[in-house]
Amino acid sequence: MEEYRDLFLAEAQEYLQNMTDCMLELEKDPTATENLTEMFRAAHSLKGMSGTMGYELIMKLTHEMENLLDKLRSGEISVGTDLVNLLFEAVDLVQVMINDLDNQKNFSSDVQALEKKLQGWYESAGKEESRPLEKGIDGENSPEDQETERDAAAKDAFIKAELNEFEKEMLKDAASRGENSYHINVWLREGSLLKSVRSYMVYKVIEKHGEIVKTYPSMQAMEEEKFDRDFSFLLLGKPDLDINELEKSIKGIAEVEKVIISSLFLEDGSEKAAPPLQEAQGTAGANAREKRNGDQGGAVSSQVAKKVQPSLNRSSEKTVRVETAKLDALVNLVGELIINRTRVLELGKQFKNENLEASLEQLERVTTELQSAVMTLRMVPIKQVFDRFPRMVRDLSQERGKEIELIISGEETELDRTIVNQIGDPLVHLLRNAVDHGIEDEEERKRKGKRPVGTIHLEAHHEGSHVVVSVEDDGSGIDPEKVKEKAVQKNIITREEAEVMEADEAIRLIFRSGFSTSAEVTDISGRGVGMDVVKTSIEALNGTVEVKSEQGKGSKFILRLPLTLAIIRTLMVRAGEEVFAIPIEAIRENLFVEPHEIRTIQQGKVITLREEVLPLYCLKEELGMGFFEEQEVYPVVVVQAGEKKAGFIVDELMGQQEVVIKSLSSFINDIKGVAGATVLGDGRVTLILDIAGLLEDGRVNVGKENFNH
Amino acid sequence: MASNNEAVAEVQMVAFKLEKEEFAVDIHQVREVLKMTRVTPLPQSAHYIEGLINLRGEVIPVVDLRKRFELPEGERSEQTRIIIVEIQDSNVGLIVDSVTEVLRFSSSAIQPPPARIAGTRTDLIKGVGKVEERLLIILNLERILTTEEIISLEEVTLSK
Amino acid sequence: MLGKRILITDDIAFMRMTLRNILVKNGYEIAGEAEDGVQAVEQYMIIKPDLVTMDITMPNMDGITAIKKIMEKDPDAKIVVVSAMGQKALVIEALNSGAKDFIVKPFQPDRIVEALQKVIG
Repeated sequence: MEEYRDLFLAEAQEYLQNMTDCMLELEKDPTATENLTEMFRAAHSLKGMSGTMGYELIMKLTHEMENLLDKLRSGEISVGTDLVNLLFEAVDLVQVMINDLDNQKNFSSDVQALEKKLQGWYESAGKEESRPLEKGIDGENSPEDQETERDAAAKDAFIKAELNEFEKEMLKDAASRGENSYHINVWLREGSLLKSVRSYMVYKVIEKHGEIVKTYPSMQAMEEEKFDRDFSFLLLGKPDLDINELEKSIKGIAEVEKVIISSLFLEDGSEKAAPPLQEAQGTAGANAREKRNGDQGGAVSSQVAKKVQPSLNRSSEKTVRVETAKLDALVNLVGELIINRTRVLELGKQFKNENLEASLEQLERVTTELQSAVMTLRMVPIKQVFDRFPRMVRDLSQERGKEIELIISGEETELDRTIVNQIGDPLVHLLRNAVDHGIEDEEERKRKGKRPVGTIHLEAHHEGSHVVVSVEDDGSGIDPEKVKEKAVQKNIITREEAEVMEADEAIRLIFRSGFSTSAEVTDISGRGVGMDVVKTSIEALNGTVEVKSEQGKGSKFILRLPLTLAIIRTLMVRAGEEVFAIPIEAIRENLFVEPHEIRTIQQGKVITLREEVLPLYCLKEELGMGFFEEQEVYPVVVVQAGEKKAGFIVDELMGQQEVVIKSLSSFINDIKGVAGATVLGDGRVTLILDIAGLLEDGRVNVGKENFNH
Repeated sequence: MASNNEAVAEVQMVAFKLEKEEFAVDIHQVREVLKMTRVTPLPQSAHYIEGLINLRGEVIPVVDLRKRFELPEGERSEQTRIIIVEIQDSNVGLIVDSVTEVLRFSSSAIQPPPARIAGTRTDLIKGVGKVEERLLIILNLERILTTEEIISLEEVTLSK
Repeated sequence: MLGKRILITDDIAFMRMTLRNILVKNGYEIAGEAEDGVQAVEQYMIIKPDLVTMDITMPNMDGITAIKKIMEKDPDAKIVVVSAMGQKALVIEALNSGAKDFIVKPFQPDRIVEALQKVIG
């Protein structure tokens, strides 16, 4: 169930993004009807998906959007900013609903209101009927016996209703790559048991032959056995797909009674997605094949007429999809490995043995390579962040009454997922600043002889082992004198310092903490809203920020970021005034323990957890940073290293976070119990605990064997 | 750089104070000087290690020089500074009472550490710089920061 | 189909008997009977049957582990899982471990014969 939901979420997000992109394009150029078509498809797909998942409100809303878009497409109504705003309103509501799938009911009044607005729009435009939501299945297929009539209807529903614009487009694309699309309908024997497993077996077989684009009923319904005897798949076959082979393997599954494979033809402009009938025996062509089903007379036969190009190598065949959770687990394990490696190396040095040292060196090299290899698996395109900016800049500039063009390039540039997730906020800061303070209003621009429309360039590219992201505006630039003045006022520099300071250096003052706060919306320097925050968060990612500015011409902020990082997933806990990060791998569970559950044995605290006696330590005390204090309830982190298990009392459990591991300076000797440090988003240094090291310590050394009751 | 003319060779030193003593460190060894900032304590480390700071994303250990020389913990003031120095290719912060100025010495104004002053250890001192009436002690930071032996202030000063 | 040699694995004697009767009636030869996974693996290596029927829940070694062990030793082994209703997840695991197909208890002779035929022809 979760899987379907995740897939739904991911795809819905994509469609919403598509719609947003298209709307922005459309607003710029109302004649660009291809955008309308694309939006229509997106709305339609969203409707279908949410319907399948049972999210009725989303379905209703997207249905109204679809209707409105249809009118736009047919030219009955025309595009304007108001209409785009209304559509954005709808997109936003869908987004909000998708973010809160469990509480759909809460949105019914919102949806109703918006539905009315949308309807009002196209109805007032003169025309009457909206297309009915439920697509009727127009039984144009000639009915066979009662059984197959239902089958045909199901299939027809699948192909006609579900395979709309978008899918057709997708299939056409596939065809142009030499892939053929097939509709595969499978019937099980009457009274078959564990049907869901059967459908799974069929799925596994078909999957080997290409990409399954769609299933009918939905995967979820199949899993829940919500089908009678038949189910079908839409397959993008590999170029070298052998239909005979495919059919044979499906039929080789027990309880499969009948298989019908039809090739889908998608000629340009053709509305007809149904497979053509081909009765002739032995059609020419290696893969072409006629196929009938004995007494199931009239069953649709299959044929492959498109040129099949087995030589076409698709790169996708060399890639595998992996769940991000699995990747994360791998990355975390490698993180652990790296931490343990450091300990092993340290221990190994004590032996002063040449062979051992050589092996350790080898180990170090290999693990380092392993780490970087694993980290490249986490690379994603920066597009994921960039995508939300066109909309943001549009809304912001509308608010400010400025006209601004955002030009994005290099969005396909890839970098580590964590970095991508974390540069969003800094970029929002920079773009906001560019809109608010960088770009002048239209009049001022005209006065300066500039183009009335301001431009912001957002760009990304690779540079060696770094990614460079820049935000450049053609606004007023930063006035170093004003920056100096303000820095003096704020006691960041002295007047004397200001007097001798070069312009470049002065401009960099905007990154100093205390230079400005986000509360100051209008800023005389033209910059400075939370710039220190930008700088800190980029530096926490091992990156740098640079600024170049020319007065009157504009400013450019350049972020330089590493491609990958050494990252580990941790639980943040507070002990006393300090925050510590505990690697998730070492954590078994978190508990809240009440005082009466704690007993004292041999002067040590213990708790009993599921018949296992665990030693309990106060983290603060173990780290020599405070003392145990009586409380009503203690948050406890149960950790394990090897065979040793223990509970650590902390003051607060602060949630999980991925952190970038920074090694401690070589200047500091290894500290038992500390694996390294990390810099949090607010710039503060936090220690990453080494649980194995902590438990190794003689004191923290009690396993359950010692405490058998 | 212009070492072809020994006579006018000049050295720049960052001068700082600890108690009433004045010290100096070669400017080439100093990466930058920071105002006192939040330091994350590091458990189970030498008592004079104040903890860790974040310098542009790099995690740097900070040594409290007062504690290094067994002085009572001083109060942090507006003048308190962290001097980031580079020692054996890694950066270390030094907490000092204040940073007074950058001084220029002609190389002739720098004397080798005076031998045979009772209690002063010449291995911990690189030299003594003289500016007018002031005597600044140029510390051998490599030595001081990489040994774990206890060092008292007297061992690195001339005044007794 | 005639003369194909089958190894039956089930911890319940009644089940083995039922299955044996169905298979013999349809022309199969019963090459051996195993009461748990351990016996199944042992006997497989000695008998080298054309097909194994494998119950899932058994003492000593469960069917899934036995499938994995057999597949390890003979990747061409043809194993059909015998499942009770409601063992969906286990059946899928068995299939993913290398079982070729599955049959469901209570036995329906024609379905069992069909399944076996599809697997060993």
